[in-house]
Amino acid sequence: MNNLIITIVLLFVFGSVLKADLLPEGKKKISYSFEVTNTDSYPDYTFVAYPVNTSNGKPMLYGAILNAESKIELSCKFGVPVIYAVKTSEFNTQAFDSLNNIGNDDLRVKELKSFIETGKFIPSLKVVCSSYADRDAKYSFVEEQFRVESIETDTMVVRSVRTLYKDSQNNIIDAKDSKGNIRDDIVSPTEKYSSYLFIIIPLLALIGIVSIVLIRKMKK
Amino acid sequence: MQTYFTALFLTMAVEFGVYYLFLRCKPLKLLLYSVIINGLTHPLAFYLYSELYFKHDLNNNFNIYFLITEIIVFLAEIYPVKLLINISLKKAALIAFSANLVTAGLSFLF
Repeated sequence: MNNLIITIVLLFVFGSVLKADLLPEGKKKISYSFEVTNTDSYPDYTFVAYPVNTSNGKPMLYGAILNAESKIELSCKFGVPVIYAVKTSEFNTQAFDSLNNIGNDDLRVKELKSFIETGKFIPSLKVVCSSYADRDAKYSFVEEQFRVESIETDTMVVRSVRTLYKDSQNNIIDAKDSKGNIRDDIVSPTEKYSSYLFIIIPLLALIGIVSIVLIRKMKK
Repeated sequence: MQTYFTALFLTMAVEFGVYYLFLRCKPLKLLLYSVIINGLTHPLAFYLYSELYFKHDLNNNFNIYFLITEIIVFLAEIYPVKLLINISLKKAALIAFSANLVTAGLSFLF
């Protein structure tokens, strides 16, 4: 009896896991890749995407150096990559490569995360994608092109400029220009020298509100 | 930081416009109130959004963190609007909602 209960529980648990990998109703699997253009205009910077997961099974997260015209394929699950810029003089390529070569997945993620967080990386947009399309969609590949618009001390603006939809023969069957993602000009919250402004400005505003209320009360 | 301050000043200007459309009086005072109210909420919202955006994964194209931040900002602005402009809570909520709806909508365009 106990064995039967255990079997039912195991079937239930593994059934749920298997179900997670099934195609959603009315959808088909597609491939997604992205590239970042205009990096050549910023020769002092190195561009990095993290976390990049190319595995369709167990999540295997890496960091990727973005070169001109290099395409990064994503499995669109387990991690949404952020595009970062870092001054080449402050980027240790060898250390980054050695972290990417760590065999243990958990340790690699931990070390790469720490590398990014402690370095002077300027974050920009997240590459949000989907590996599914409607079953009757004619395309099987989606290629998104991002463009580096500007880099300031602690801000980088990267915009999605074009999305190409390709069929299984790699023919472009549709192309969409986009104006850009919302709020892609994020200021790094880890940037130390500017963070005091996020405290001082609200504090001054609060003092302003209290002062106005007090002045009004005194006048009455 | 230049991008951030451009966004902050634009928000102050647009929200001032919304306040003025509703109240049609004392433009200088309304501008001051807009500066103070946005000075209070905008940096905190920006910080909150950045934190949410970078520390949590977005698994679909709908930016839930943007919506969460906008709702928090709208709620946070109701009382300062009521207090500074000296209007009813209902009207303050309507003005705060409209102002944030306009600025949120503009952020999709620019």
